[in-house]
Amino acid sequence: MNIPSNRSTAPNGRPLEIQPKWRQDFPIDVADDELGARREFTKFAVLVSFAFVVGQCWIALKSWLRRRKPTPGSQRIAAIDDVAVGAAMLFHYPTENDPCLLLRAATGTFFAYSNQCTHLMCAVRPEMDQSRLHCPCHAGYFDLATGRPIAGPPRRPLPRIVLEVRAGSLYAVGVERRTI
Amino acid sequence: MKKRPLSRDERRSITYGILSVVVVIVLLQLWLLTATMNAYLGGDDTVVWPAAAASLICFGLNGGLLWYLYSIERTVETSDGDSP
Amino acid sequence: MIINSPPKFFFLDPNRCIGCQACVQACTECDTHKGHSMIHLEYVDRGASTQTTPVICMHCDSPTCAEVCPADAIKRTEDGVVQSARKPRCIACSNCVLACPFGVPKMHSGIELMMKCDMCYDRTSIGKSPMCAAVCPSQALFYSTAEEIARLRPRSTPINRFQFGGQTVHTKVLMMTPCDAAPDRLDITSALNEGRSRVAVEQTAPDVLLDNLYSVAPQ
Repeated sequence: MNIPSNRSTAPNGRPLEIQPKWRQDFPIDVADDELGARREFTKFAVLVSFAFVVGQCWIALKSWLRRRKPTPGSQRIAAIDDVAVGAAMLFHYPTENDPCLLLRAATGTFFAYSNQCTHLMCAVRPEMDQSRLHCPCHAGYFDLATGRPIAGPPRRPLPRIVLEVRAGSLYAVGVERRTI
Repeated sequence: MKKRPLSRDERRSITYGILSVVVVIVLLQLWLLTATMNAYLGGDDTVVWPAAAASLICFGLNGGLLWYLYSIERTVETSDGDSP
Repeated sequence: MIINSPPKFFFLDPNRCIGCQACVQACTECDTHKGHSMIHLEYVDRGASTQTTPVICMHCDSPTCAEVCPADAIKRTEDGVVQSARKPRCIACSNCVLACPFGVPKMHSGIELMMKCDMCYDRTSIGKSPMCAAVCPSQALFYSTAEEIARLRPRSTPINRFQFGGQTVHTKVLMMTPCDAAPDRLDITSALNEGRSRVAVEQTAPDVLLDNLYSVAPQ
């Protein structure tokens, strides 16, 4: 028994290669359709590639602008006696938009970190009794002594504020950003 | 020399191959972007311009591959015009 | 794997249909149909007879449903099985429902998706018979090799050429017709025009070239 097959790519029965452009781009068969679909996806991937280049340039530009800014000067935070042992104090350095924490772990031990979690910039809270800083947004933890992340989503340490003691007062003299 | 027009199956294989390479390069760029962002936020400015240049080279490769993809389509269209 | 086994075909024999609706129930069980039945029974001539015929997708060699789809949603796989509309593409316009000469696609307006008989693609693609053919007690729906149908039904011959007015349709699914009539096509439209229940068999219908669709420019 002979079972005929007249499978065609178009009603006129001609091969796909000599069909109009619209039919070559939108053929009925899955295998033929893949060509157009994958080509369009490649085009999109190249567009994404371009977006990444734009992103890189944006970072580079931001970095250039940051380096042009003058280094922050020194700023008086508090007198040493203003902060009790095991207490914390909020201050702003280098600008009003950069909240920081001053922490007194022991009589002569002060730490100062940026108050913004390196994950998504939530405010971190000191937990002095467990010598760590806690970010309540996504349960991130930082080491009190170094500012390095110990648990949760953050990957970078908190920026450290360099402190100086002059005549019984604490001064912030610089910001130290770290990648590890 | 006139190029032999590629069949649809050949073009599909080529498209798959190019797509795989492009996707790998794009993933590389994604990694580069996150690493650079991490370095920038961590205060390390030395890598940002070299990383941007590397990303640009990757985009150049991608663009070249896409251009090749369109050039083989053009070959087919030209041969269509010649055929009766 | 089934690479070395002979190809199987789907045979439709309306003569054998007893109207039991078993296929309609079994169809909903198929994994690719998501609980919807893609088959229905049609009364051949309801006023005169209780004879029914199952309506399944014939999987045309040039599927009209896919031809008219404005969203490029209906695709045919390599083995010639026309699939349901692709969900991200289907715009629920019902063009395919109106265009299909066999009346197969169904619009599920609740989920805005056209679904149609896909020959139980998860089953037939690995050599199993479709759900409807598996349960059909009279084997009006029959899935097997060409050799077997020739051996089992020597008085019938499969045909896959249908005439709908000016449109000739070749299908993957085969319709069993009596050997003695030996038609080369089933002319559905003239059967309807006759006003009788029987499907007219014409041997001399002119071959219609659909080339005209492309060569004639609209005025």
